[in-house]
Amino acid sequence: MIRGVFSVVLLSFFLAGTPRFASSEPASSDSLTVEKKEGKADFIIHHIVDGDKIDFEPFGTIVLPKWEPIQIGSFQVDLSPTKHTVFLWFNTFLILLLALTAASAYRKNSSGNFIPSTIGNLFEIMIEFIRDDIAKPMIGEHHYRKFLPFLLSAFLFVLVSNFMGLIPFGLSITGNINVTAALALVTFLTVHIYSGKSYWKHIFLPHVPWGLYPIMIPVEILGMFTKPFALAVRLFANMTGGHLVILTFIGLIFILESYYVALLSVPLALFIYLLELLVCLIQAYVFTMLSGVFIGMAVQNEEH
Amino acid sequence: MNIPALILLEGGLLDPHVGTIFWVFVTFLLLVFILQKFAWKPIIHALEERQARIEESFKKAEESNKEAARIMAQFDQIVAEASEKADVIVRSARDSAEKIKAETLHKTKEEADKLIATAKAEIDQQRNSMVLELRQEMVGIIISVAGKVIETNLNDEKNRTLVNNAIQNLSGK
Repeated sequence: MIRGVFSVVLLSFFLAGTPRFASSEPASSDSLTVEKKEGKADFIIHHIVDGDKIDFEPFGTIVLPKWEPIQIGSFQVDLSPTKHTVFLWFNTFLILLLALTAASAYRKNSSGNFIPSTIGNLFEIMIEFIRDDIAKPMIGEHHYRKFLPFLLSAFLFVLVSNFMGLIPFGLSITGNINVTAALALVTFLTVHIYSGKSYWKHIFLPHVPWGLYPIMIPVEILGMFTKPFALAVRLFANMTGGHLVILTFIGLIFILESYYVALLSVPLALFIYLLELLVCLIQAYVFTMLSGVFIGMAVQNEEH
Repeated sequence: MNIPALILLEGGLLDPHVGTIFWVFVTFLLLVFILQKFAWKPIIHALEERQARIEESFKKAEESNKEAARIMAQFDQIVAEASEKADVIVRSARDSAEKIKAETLHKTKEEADKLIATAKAEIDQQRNSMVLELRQEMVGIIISVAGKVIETNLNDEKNRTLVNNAIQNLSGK
């Protein structure tokens, strides 16, 4: 089955690329100017950045509606749907479908006194993994219950969003800095809403000599914001990087305008694709684990 | 395609877009709340219940094992006691049976001896009486035979004594 998925992906890359290739003029070394190269590689950036069109070529393109910007004070906020927003909603729908299907048996029989279905088993594995390997060790036995649903939702959301980028015509919305920033914002707010006394004491009364306070307090305040910032940038950079590399390997065929390049660039792209499978999983785990660590630092009461 | 164009220009990778942030924030929070209420809560609850039940089952199994071992020990003790009792019973039964056997044998022997003695006595008596009878008959016969043979002094007291002596000698041998 996995092999089937790969071949579909590769086929889709070719299908997406072939018309451009066919329409381009035969190459001659003299005409290969910098400008022309830019034009040929443009599809890479179009694939990655947000936009108001969803590209299903060669089956067509969906142009998204444009809404009037909302005026808040002196700011204009454009809430019209973009490519990534639509995929955000699609992912959310997919997650809800999966999770609610899996949970339906548990809602009917709350004692858990039954044999779980396949999807129920998958969710049980995920929940036990997040609970026993992230929530309990990072947040602690006393508080983990309150934050487990958030960590589970974050993990599932990031995981599905990452993997959506690996299927044909899909794209990973976690490759958009705005999306990861919003996710990190949720973590940031969770941390600061539930933070205990020792968290603020750690920032404004750190365990250092008085003389170091002018240095330490700004550093700690900066740390409040660098943590979620790192969270956002790490996820964004990992997802974007992987896609850029895959698209660049495929793009080499069109930039160099030779079918022989495919002999090298397709296996390389496939290798990166396999690597991406791993990276998607790892980044979802890292995002969840770091969220857990930050929450754990905020809610722990004991001095250290 | 140079790096600044990729990252910094309008529509580039790092272009902030408040609308996207807003939608992700709202959608994600909604997702968290819906999943918490309808997915995570029931599954986690069921998982915890199952864990508690498994732990309880283990505890119960251990207790049952202990109970079974205790009952087994008790049972062994009962069996040992019973077999001891059975041994005693068998031994006493054998003893009494042997005693009865010996007694019976003894009594039977005695009775048989008595019977034999009686029979012997009777036989002796009968033989004596028969001998007596025979002797008297023989006396008569001999007298008559002798009378016929000798024809003289037959009724003589002396002869009768003579014959009697002869017979006495005969039977004495």
